[in-house]
Amino acid sequence: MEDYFYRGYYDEKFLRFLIKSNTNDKETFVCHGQGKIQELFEICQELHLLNPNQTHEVYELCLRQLKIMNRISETSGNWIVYPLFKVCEQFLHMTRLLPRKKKFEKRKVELLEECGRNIHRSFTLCLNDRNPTRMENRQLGVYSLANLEFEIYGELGNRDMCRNLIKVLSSRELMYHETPLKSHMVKFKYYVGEYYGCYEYDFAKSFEHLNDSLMRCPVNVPGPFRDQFNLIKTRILIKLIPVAMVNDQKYLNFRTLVETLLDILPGPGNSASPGVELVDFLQEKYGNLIQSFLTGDIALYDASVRRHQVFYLQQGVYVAVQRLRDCVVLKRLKRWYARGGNAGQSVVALKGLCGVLRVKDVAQIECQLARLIAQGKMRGYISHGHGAVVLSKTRPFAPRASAVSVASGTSRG
Amino acid sequence: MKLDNDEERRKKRLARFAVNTDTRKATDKIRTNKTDSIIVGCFQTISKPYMRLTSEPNPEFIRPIHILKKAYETFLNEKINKEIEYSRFISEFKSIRQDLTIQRIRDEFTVKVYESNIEISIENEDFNEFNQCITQLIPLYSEVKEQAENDKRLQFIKYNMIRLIFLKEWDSLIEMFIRYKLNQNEKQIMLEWELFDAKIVGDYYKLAQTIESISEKNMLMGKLLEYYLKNERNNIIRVLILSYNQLNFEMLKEKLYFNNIENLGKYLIENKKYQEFIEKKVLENGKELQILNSRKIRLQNSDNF
Repeated sequence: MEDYFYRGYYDEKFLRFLIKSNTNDKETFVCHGQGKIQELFEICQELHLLNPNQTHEVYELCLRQLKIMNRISETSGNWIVYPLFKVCEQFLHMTRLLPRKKKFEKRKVELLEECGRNIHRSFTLCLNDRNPTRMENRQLGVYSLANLEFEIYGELGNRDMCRNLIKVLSSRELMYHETPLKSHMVKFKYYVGEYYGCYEYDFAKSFEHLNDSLMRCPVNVPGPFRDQFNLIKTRILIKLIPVAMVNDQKYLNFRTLVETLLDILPGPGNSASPGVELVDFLQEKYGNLIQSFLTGDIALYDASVRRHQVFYLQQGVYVAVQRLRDCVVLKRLKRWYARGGNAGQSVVALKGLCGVLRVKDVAQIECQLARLIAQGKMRGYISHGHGAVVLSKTRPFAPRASAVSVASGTSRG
Repeated sequence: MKLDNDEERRKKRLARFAVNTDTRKATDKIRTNKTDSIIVGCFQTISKPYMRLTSEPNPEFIRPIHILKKAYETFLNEKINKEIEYSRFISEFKSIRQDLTIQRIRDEFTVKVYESNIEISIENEDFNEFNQCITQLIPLYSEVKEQAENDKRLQFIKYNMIRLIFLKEWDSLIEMFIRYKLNQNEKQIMLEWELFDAKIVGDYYKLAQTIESISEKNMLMGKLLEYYLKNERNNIIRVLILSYNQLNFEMLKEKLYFNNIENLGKYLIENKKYQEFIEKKVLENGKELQILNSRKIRLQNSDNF
């Protein structure tokens, strides 16, 4: 076993030895090393001997295994990053299993916090590697380990730790801007995008990361993995759809979604496919919202938000959806203007807009228009004394919305 | 010989795992963060001004629960009857809270102490103290079961909602809204939810209406809102400057929630430094109007606007 450490490589056999499995496949290793390597060897041996029902004992060994791996990693090259990640993943798995035992039921939070601390140690080991040789630098592992931390902090509801993690990663000049493990980058970008969209309400950054996450998802995925990837894409889209609309006035075209992202063709005979269910799900939650965004139908928007309020709250997109209302109002005004509603006049009485926006109070219209002008979505100014809005003679409204360009070519084939 | 030594060292290493067979007890002890010893105070004097703890707490200077209850009644009544100043009251109550924390007393009495502290702090516009107390009170609510069905806890939950809305800690707020919605109790917090919706989009019209509705029902809530509105004014005036060429003082006073023109003037001059942009406009009927020339502000501060 020490051969892996002296020569600085890993293979499937080594990974199988590190990770406890419930199958009967057992790897046979011999260890002539000493010190930390010998200790790791003995822990792994004992891990494989334990019964899976001995959850607490397995947990304790996984903790020891992670600690010894951290110590070994301090002086190892970046080959250790993936085995270290697998050990962290295993420890997290056991941390989630242990509270199912009655004795540890009430310690779920405490155990998760400890898991977070230990995995953060692994993360720091990778982050702080000063090795100038890129091919040996452990910073390669920060993204994979950060994903595990994001999962833990998400379960703990600890937004501050997420913020610290993102701050640390964005403030450092890292040797690696991404990991070659594509699925890990998809996850990483998703978590960062989710953080910006659902906690910081920075929809520009959120869109950038969520869109990147989606673009990294493969299309034409072979059979057994297709459903898994469709679920991942749906999870990203749940956040991305409202963020894209509110940030950049981009809306989701469902036909494009079906054809390019969810790997199914629209039409009869596909109703049994799970991908169709996902499309139907997204259509149900966002269809009317997108429709109201495109047509300026304020009543449809309000009804849609009332109906799916809990869903939007639970998914953390409620703020984005609320901010979309201004876009819907704007669309309504643009359509009214395009139909010649202002009769060619740049000075428009606010009372006249009450019917357009279905509002009784002129003060409310004034407030709505003031906000649209302040946001740069309308050009003009309000004259309170004259009870009117003076629109710009040239292009009083911002450019139109566009459909999300999903087939950027990066993920095809 | 060397082989024997190696063998012996290997046996010793293996024995490391065999030594502590009952790993659960050992690790449980190691993992326990809380100490088992709880301090029980024996100080019998009711009054004890607050002093920051800089060393291990001494039980001789910590008041037991029955003394704390007397202290609570005494100083609360004295404050209500205006027999003591707010500074004395807050010193005594902070000291009561400190003694409760040291002795790890987290029961209905502790809840009562925090609730009274919060009410008096809002009345006296000490919002730092309000902030400190409310962040301790809310977690207490999940530990201490409500004795009787009343609206009192809901009131403090609403104070916290207002605080979260204006401090933009919306994820905690959203969790609360989800719970109310799923329990079909959202009508209890309807106004606070409307306030949140208005704040999200910066709808100052809806903000004003909701604030008025909330303040009518509860004077303390009105005071709390008034405090948070001070910061909100900066956001509102920015929108107004961007969308109007001139803003007459009467309209500004209304939109910025000022009671009178003098306070508005003070805000524009002292806070915003807009002295040079305040002008007088004479109307056709000869009436003079004070206006803020927002167009001039935009032109001269193009970086900010």
